[in-house]
Amino acid sequence: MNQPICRVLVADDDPTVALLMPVALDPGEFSVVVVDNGLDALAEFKRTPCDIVLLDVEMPGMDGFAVCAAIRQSRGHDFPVVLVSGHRDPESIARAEQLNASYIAKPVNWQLISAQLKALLAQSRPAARP
Amino acid sequence: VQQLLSAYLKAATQDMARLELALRCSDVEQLASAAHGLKSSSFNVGANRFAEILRDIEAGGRAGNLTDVTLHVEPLMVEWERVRLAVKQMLAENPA
Repeated sequence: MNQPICRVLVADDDPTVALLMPVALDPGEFSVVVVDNGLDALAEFKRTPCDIVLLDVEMPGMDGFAVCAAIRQSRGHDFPVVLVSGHRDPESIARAEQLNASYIAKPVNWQLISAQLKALLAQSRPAARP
Repeated sequence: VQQLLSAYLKAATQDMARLELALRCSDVEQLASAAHGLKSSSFNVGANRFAEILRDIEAGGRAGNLTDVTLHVEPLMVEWERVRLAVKQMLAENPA
């Protein structure tokens, strides 16, 4: 039986990410929606069901930490959220941990991103996605 | 690839204008912010040397160290010109 399509919401104001992410994530396995700011990310999250959210940290309107905090308020502690950031300082990583978000460092490894997301989804929902 | 390079060139030109304005105004916060965004997209198109200089500028900006930032400005401008011309050439040679 085919794996269900994984719905991914990506928020990043870098236009190259908007073009690369849907290519890096195989359309046969992932359905990708990209927005370019934090406010739209939260609006899209509330409007359309998704399985995992990838948030850039530094975005106009609302940063990735604030969007993640809002997601935690509405969907609880365990919904899969990944903060994708070029900030590698311990404070940023600690903030991600406090929000129970995973952390992927930029520059994104486009060859690995699909496997990274699958691994995160398997951790978060082992029964649903073996 | 053309779409990617075209999007990069447009955004990078805007970010470089923002970065140059921040430099003129000695606005380290804006400087770090512009360098941060441009660094990521530059890595994504393989402009690694340019991205590494931007990383140094971002670090100097975040530390509030304009003297350190200034050291990287000339190499940045040289590399930006190289990247800009290379991308334009690729776009011209392979029109959409």
